[in-house]
Amino acid sequence: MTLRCAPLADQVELVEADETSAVATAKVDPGDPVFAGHFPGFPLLPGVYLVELVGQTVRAALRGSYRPELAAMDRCRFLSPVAPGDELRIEVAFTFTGPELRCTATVNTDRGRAAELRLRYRPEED
Amino acid sequence: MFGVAEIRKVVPHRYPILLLDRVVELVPGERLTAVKAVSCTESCYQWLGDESADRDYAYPATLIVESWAQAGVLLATWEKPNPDVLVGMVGLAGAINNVSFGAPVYPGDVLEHRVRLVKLVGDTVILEGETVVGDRTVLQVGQFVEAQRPVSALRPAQPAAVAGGVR
Repeated sequence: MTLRCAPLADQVELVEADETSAVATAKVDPGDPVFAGHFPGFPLLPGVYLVELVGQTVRAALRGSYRPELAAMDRCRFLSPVAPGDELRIEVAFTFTGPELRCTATVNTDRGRAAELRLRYRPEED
Repeated sequence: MFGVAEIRKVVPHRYPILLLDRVVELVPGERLTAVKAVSCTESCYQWLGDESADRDYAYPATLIVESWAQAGVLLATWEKPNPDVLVGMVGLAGAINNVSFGAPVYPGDVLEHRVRLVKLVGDTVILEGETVVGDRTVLQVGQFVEAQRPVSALRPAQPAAVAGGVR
């Protein structure tokens, strides 16, 4: 098992986790190079980065017993923008259907709900 | 048809997250085809080392979506270019539904994004499409809802809903 290519380094802090749920926090790093281009003079975290952070939370919760690879984004709502320095709280509920992992997640900032995501994962192949 | 210089006149995304190289077909208000070449010099590969296996070089699914979405913004704003969010509007993803990923993409592959405009309601646009690499479909997008919002409405002190009124 080696590191997969990713747009951002692992940065979630797992707060709690069990077999079907996980909670993590992350502080949006103002030094992330992405902000230079998204957007010049008005930095906002790309919505797909929130999908990445949910994936990091699931991966941390499952501790290598299942290595999730994104298979589908069934329903994603981006409700308010996320800015550099924001403290994120990521709450995830997941269930397995055969090899597939279905996940429902919310991402909140101090200002309220930033995103609601329904995602599906398949196991990483070696 | 046209390259990055023209793309930058329409969309506000810039290095390192401008993920389009060329537009090869554009029918304004209807459809657009754009390409992006994936390279191992992109910043998402910076954490990989000599121990990394071929499979580790799969291009992140989220960046395929981001790149496709930028093609969508290009189609949606072609007739109202918006290269600088500070003086205009900012186009943000409000909703992304029924997206699935196919075969993995690797450095050297060229993504061909196909975007179709389904519906335009005020400043909200609904798009669909797919991304292919040669004859492989690597991404299918059932519904992408993009909303144009004035930047003043998006200051973190005054959060505003960016999900469009269209469901």
